[in-house]
Amino acid sequence: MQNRWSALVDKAAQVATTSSNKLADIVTKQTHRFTLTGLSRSGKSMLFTSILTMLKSRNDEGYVCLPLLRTLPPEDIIFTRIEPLEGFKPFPLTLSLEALANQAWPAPTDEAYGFKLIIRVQETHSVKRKLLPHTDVIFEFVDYPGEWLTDLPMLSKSYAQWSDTAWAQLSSGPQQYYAEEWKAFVNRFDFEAAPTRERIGELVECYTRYLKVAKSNGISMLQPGSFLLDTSEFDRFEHGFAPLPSSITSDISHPWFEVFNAHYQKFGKDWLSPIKEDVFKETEKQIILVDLFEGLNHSRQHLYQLKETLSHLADAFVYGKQSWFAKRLGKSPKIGKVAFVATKSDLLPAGEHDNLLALLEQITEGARAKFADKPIAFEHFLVSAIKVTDEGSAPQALRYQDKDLGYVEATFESVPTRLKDMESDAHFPVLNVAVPKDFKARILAGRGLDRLFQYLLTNEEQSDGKY
Amino acid sequence: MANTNNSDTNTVESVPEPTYRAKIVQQPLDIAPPEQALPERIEPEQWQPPVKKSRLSVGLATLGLALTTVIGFMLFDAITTLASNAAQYPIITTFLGIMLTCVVGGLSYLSAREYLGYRRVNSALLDSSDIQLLEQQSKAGESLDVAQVAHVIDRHGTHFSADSYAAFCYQRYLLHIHVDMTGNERLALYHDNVTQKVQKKAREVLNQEAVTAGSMAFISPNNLLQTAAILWVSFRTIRKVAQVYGLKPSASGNWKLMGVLAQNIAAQGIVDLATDEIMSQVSGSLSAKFVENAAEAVAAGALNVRLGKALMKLLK
Ligand SMILES: Nc1nc2c(ncn2[C@@H]2O[C@H](COP(=O)(O)OP(=O)(O)OP(=O)(O)O)[C@@H](O)[C@H]2O)c(=O)[nH]1
Ligand SMILES: [Mg+2]
Repeated sequence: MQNRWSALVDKAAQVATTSSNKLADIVTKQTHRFTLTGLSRSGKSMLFTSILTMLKSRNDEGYVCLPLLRTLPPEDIIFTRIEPLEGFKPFPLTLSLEALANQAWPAPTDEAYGFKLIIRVQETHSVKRKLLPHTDVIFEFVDYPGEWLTDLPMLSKSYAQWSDTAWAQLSSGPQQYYAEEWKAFVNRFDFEAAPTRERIGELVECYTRYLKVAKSNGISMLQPGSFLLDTSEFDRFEHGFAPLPSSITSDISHPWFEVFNAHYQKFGKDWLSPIKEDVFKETEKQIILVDLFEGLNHSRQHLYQLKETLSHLADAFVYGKQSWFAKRLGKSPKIGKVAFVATKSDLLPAGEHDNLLALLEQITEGARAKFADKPIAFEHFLVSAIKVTDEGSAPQALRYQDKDLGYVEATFESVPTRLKDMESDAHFPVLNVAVPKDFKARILAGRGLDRLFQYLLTNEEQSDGKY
Repeated sequence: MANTNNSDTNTVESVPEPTYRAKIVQQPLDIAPPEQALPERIEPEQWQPPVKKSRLSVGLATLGLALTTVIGFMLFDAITTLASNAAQYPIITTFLGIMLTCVVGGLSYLSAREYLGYRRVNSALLDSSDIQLLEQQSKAGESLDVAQVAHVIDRHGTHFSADSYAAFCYQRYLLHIHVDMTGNERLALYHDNVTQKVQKKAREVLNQEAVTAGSMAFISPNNLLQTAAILWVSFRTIRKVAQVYGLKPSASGNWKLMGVLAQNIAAQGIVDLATDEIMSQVSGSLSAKFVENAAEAVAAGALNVRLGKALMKLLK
């Protein structure tokens, strides 16, 4: 549909060069590229694992699954197949499933993986079926470490700008509690002495330590996120940098400024730019995953910070000045689609889902404001890639297998629908869930993926109603 | 210029991280976690219209009788041509008379039974305008109340007669429903899994019946038998299509259908006249008779489709 015309022209050319007995082999191709944006631990890899498992079970084994994915009804699907995506390592689906089978969560992603999901659909319209018997619906997905995402806004900032914001950030909000050691270290540090390799290394190590501690305490706005991955190809020991107090960054001839500025440029040019090119290709369809539980687990401040992070991301990457949208404006009448998705919704009793959705809408406010005057349609979704919880004895309760405590019933107070309604001294500790043995049934019991993909797959003209 | 000490780092305040009150109470349970059941599986479709054995045999017998009668008439024709005086052969005349009576009687019996069968559950017709209204609202972008949609759908679903295709589809629809689905989503699923599937099946059945109607017209040796056969096939079509829908037409619908039926029979009569006229101008040979019957068969099939379409419109 997207490229109906060009597809038809291609088709005509194909038909012209194909003998009639091969006519049945001709396939119309319909490619959908989604950019899946999600901070670290937001559930990207689980989502891929789940959608692949669901489609396969639905198609090959006939399980009732993804009922709301109405554009791809199971009776019209001839097969589903996974193929590697050129230029990427294949997505480690079997590793993820093996991990789950061993009752462990899949390991955090530390590099980029890509895959193509090909769904061959048979044409239902009888006249078209004679001519173009089937269509391949192709999804292209790229999975990557969420830490990379946080770094993208750095591309549009100079070192001095970045350093000043980062410094201001770590002195405020919930992260200030974890930045004390780093600040004390900088305070003691002798910036008069020349920036030797060892001294740079020391400084960068201390800063990285702060990043790690802050991350484990639920802070989302951490730059450079790439420093958190020990597997990164960018050598932070050789070319690392850290934010410096403004007394240094305001003096461009300061040797420390010069060194860090050079490293920062290198980081942008040799590391971030290629990632942005390869992994975050521009697409009209964006899925933005948000893990609200990380914020709820800590405090209201963390949620505010998450909101800010999303807004920065929208600014710099999704709808910034050089974004796909700005480039295409005027060229195409198409409407961009953005799906904001709160993941892991199974971690909350069903009765609280409406509240969670309302909270999500609040968290994305800042990001949405960035495209308020642009032809971009958006919608909010709740998704659970796997349902690890069972119903509890009361509507506000649910049960789950705790890693330490065994089978546990957790009773929830109501989740606030507005950030300001959340008490500043309260939190919703995240459930320490073990992977259950019956993980396949629980993946198939996951909810919301069908709604999400149905939304992204339907075109405005053909969508029937607001489902 | 190169100042080592900076004001920013001097202001390292030691704010202790606040402690938070947990808004979740957790309590270990003394029971084993339940196993999550895999979802239901959809087997390949295998709904068959319920048929009773005896019915089939009467039908077959009638068919056999009809064929015998064709041959009988041909024989009779031959014999009467040979024998100039028909009164000389009272036995054969009587035999053929009985055969004819049997066929006509059999067909009348079948028609009457189909007719009665379809009158019986007359009152069960549910007006589906409420579903259509909801669908329109949903198309217009309104978000529908889950309870209302569930109620309307449930009322329809539970009214389908038990062995109908619609009831089968409704059972499948139920497998797809989760508590967290909105009214619009439920309605869309109902449309995909019930309304659309049932329409498709009804068209299939109708096509089959058109073939039957055509064949009946084709093998009928004279207009009396043809009309009787078409009457029977028509009733059968109505019954079979209604079986797919799991509903029976209402009394007012009945009259409309009867109207279409009468028109069909009349139209078939006109086709007969026309073909007779053409055929008389060609020749009286057996092949001409064949062509004539073929033309009537096509017409009968087409007219039957017309009847079925009228019915589908009523039931929709
Ligand atoms: N209960 C529940 N937990 C989930 C779900 N999806 C993910 N999780 C949890 O969230 C963790 C992170 O999920 P991943 O899919 O690995 O996250 P990611 O976005 O790929 O993270 P990175 O690879 O580090 O960027 C998992 O280890 C699970 O513990 C879900 O649907 N339900
Ligand atoms: Mg991952």
